[in-house]
Amino acid sequence: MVAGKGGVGRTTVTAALAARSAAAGRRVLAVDALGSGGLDQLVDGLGPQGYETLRLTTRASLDEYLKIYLRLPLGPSRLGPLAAIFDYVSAAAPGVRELLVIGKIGWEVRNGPWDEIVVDAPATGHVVELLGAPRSMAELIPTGPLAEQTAWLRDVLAATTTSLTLVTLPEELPVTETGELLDRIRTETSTGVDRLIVNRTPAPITAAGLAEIDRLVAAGDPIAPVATLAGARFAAAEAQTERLRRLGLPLLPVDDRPEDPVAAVLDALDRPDR
Amino acid sequence: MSEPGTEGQPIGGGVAAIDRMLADAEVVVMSGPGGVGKTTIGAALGLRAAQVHGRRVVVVTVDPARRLAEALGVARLTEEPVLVPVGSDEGRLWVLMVDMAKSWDELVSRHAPTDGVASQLLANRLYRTLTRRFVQSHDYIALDHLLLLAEQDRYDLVIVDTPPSRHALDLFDAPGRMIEFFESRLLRWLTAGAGSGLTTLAAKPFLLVAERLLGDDFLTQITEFFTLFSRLRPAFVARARAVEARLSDPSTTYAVVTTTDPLVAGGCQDLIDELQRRGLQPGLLVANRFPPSLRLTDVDGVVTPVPAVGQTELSSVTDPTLAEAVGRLVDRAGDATLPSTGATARPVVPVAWSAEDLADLDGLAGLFPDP
Repeated sequence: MVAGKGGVGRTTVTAALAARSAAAGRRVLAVDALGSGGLDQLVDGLGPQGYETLRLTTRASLDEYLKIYLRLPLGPSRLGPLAAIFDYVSAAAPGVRELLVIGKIGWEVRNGPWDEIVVDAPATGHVVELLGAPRSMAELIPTGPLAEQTAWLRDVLAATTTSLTLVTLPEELPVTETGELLDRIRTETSTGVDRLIVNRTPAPITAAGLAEIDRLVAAGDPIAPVATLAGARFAAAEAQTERLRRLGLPLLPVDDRPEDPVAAVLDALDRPDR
Repeated sequence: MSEPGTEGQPIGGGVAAIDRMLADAEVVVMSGPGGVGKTTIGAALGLRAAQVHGRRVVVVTVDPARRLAEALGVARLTEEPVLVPVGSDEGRLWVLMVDMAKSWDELVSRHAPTDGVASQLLANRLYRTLTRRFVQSHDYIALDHLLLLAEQDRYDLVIVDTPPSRHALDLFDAPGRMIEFFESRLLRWLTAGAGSGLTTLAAKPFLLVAERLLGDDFLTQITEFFTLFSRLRPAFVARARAVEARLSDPSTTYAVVTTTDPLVAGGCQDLIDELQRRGLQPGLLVANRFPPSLRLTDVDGVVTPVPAVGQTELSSVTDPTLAEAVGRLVDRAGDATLPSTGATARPVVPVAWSAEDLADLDGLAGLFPDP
């Protein structure tokens, strides 16, 4: 599961991880847990990628959940009013939506033909709710078939074969929020975090380069403001990467290459010094 | 960043446009995709309204970073408004952080017809899980807070940050969804037989399935929750309508925050389109993290970012690593874009990208330098 704050490149990382495993011959499912279509859009631009994508929406997940997962002996006509009720309940009580999404992912883990499932999880705090949904539901609903299903789901989420990849940027606010998110994941869920992808890490500037910035500023060169920003970004990224290092997770810096962010992630994953 | 436009005004309107907004708005709703710096810009707007315009401002944050409290010089943000030392004779700035669980409990206590209904609902397991665990219930609370504060004489201006919603527009649907929920046949249908120990004939098949799915105990909790909640209906519906009215009132302005990154600007465009579909107009577009490699141009009233430097300027850099880093910023300027505010042009105010941390109030005030 790929998690992180909005705007850090979660979907890009999801697509890269899925493409890499597919290229290695694994059967891969990439899941858009937000149902936002962001993954579809990205994948459309990538050409044939060798893996399948699944976009989760509440209604589709509900149908799956009721018909297949719980094996309810109900025809579509009987599902109508129940689905309407779930629409209301999931709008007013989003825990239901989270449970359906995680339930569908769990179903694919158990019954799908996949070697690997990569999930573009919802932003920041929402991922904790997603991972915590079976636990919350278990507190709410201690008995019945749903309770049994959530117990099984909790096992899937706590298994060593399920892990989180956190994505962040080497900037102050995203780093702070990553630390807070990690705390919440460690205290409120049973899912392990196995790495931290530091996306859009600016290119390093040597001491000679940094010294040149001062000369450009002193000379009033028209490029000086841009050079100053480049220097400040590099210095900030260094400092923030140092803060991330203290979180005790393996770090994977990804080059800042806006023209091809997926390739930048793939290159970082393939870098031999990992 | 911007060259002089017609009548000596900076292109996009500049800080003068912000000042026009801050001089008389009563409510400013911060809006924009995640990660663009909404909370910080909201705090900077509040600070300027207090320092420059002498207004009594309260900034409502939902999920602030600890650094913001530090930059504001307050030890900790709480649900009680904290006064920020802004150094102005007339102007006052308070900041508060919404405590979701507590706010829901207060809301229920306010809306419940009797104390008995309130205490039963507050103890209901479903109610407690929904209001404490799930972020979406926060949307409504943020808006209720907005109204609560706007009604007080103590403040001239309320600036409200918006929660990190799954979709930014969930927020604006929250009051409507609340009304829809209370007025739905579903609620009446589910609760029609409650209390008498009998269930309506129509609800019976559902309840049989639900019991099978959810278990007996949870069903009791659900029924109790819906039954109790329905007793809050008149008060809740009236309140949600008042919140809706406030959102579309002319004294409420939407400050949309974006960056010039094409992906962010695209997300922001969707947001502006949705706002306008609801008849809500963005009053101002803030282009945060505006790099020095860009400047704004005005082509027939459309404010667009264009590269301020090119290969010629880049050629004066000799160190290869610096040239690479600067070159990337210059390249990126070529893709920069901003969302359009549609037929009616709105001010576009760039906030310079510094990559430095905001250490204190002066740093925050410096985001909007005096014209």
